Amino acid sequence: MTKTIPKIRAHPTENDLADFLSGSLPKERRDQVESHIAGCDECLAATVAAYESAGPSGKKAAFKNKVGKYMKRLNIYLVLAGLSFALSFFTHRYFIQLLVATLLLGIKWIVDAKSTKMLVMIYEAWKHGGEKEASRVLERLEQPQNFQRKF
Amino acid sequence: MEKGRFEDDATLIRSCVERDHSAWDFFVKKYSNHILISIVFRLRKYGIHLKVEDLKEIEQDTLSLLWEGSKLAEIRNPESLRYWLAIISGNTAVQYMRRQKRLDRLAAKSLSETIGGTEMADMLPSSVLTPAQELERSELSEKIEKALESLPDKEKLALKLSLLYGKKYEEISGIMAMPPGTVSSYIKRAKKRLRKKLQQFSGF
Repeated sequence: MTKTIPKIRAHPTENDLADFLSGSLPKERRDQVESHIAGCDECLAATVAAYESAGPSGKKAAFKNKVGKYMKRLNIYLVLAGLSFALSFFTHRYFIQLLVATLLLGIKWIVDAKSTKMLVMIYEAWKHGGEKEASRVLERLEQPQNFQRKF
Repeated sequence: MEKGRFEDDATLIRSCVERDHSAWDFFVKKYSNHILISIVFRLRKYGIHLKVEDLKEIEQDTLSLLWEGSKLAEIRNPESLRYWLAIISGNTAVQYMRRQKRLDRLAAKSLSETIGGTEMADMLPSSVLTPAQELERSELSEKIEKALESLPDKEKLALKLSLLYGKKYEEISGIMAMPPGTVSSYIKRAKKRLRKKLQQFSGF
C-alpha cells in the first residue's frame, strides 16, 4: 500500500508540537505533524498533556491556583466565619443556621491552614516511606526557599 | 522588580537568553506553577502519581535545563511558550522517570491494547486465562491495530483523542483546529470504517 502524504519517521521537534497546538504551524508541516501523532502514541501523549496543561482547561487550573493564593492571604474562610457569626445576632430567624455555617467555615479554615497541610504532608510521607522519608520532608519544609535561590 | 519590563513573553525570553538574572527570576515566578502542572499532567498519561519530592526535583531539572542548559534559546515562537514549556517539562519528567528506572515499561496508552483488552487481561491473575485465550486476546489487539492503521490520519487522531483520552468534541476541535461538527463526523466515520474492517478480518 502506498500513502500519498509522506510520513515523518522522526519525532516532531518540541517547537513543532508547540506550534501545532498554538495553531501557528504552516499547513503542510501541520499535516505532517498531525499524521505523525496519529500513529505515534508517545508523541500523542506529549501533545495531549501539553494541551491539557497549557490549553483552556490548564489556564483555568492555573487561574484557580492564582486566585487560591490570593484567597489564602485574605483568609477568606476566617472572614466568612466571622461574618456569619456577626450576622447570627441580627437575623433571629436564621440564628442556628448561621451558627452552623460559622462552625463549618471555621473547620474549613483550620483544615486549609498551612500547618495542617504540613502535617498531612508529613503523615503521607511517613505512610509511604517510613520515618526516613518523613524526616526528609520535614527538613525540606524548614528551608522552603532552597530551589529558587539556586538560579 | 518592575513588572512592566517583562510584560510580553518575547521580551522576557530574549532577556533570559541574554542572561539577565532579574528576567530569569521573573520567569521562574511566572511559570514555575505552569511547569509543575505540566509535569503532573504528562506523567498522569503513564498512570504515574508523583511524590512531592520527585515533582520538585523534576521541576529543578527543567529549570536548570532552561537556564543552565540554555534550552530557552531554542524556542522558535514566543507565542507558543506555554505549550513549548509544557512539552519540555513533560519530556524532562519522562527522562527523569526512565533514569530512575522506576518504570520498566514506560509506554503511552495505545488504542488497540485498550480496546483489545490486554490491559484488562493484565489485571487478572495469569491463571485465569488459558494460553489459548491469551493468544486470542493478543490476536484481537493485533487485528485492531491493523484496522486502525488503515484509517485516514485525521480520523485516526480524532478517534484516539476521543476513545483513548476521553476528550470531548470541543477539546478535540481545539487540538485539531477544526469545528466540532467536523470532529463528530470524523469520529462517526472512523467508527464505521473500523467496524467494517474488523468484520472483514474476522470473516463475518
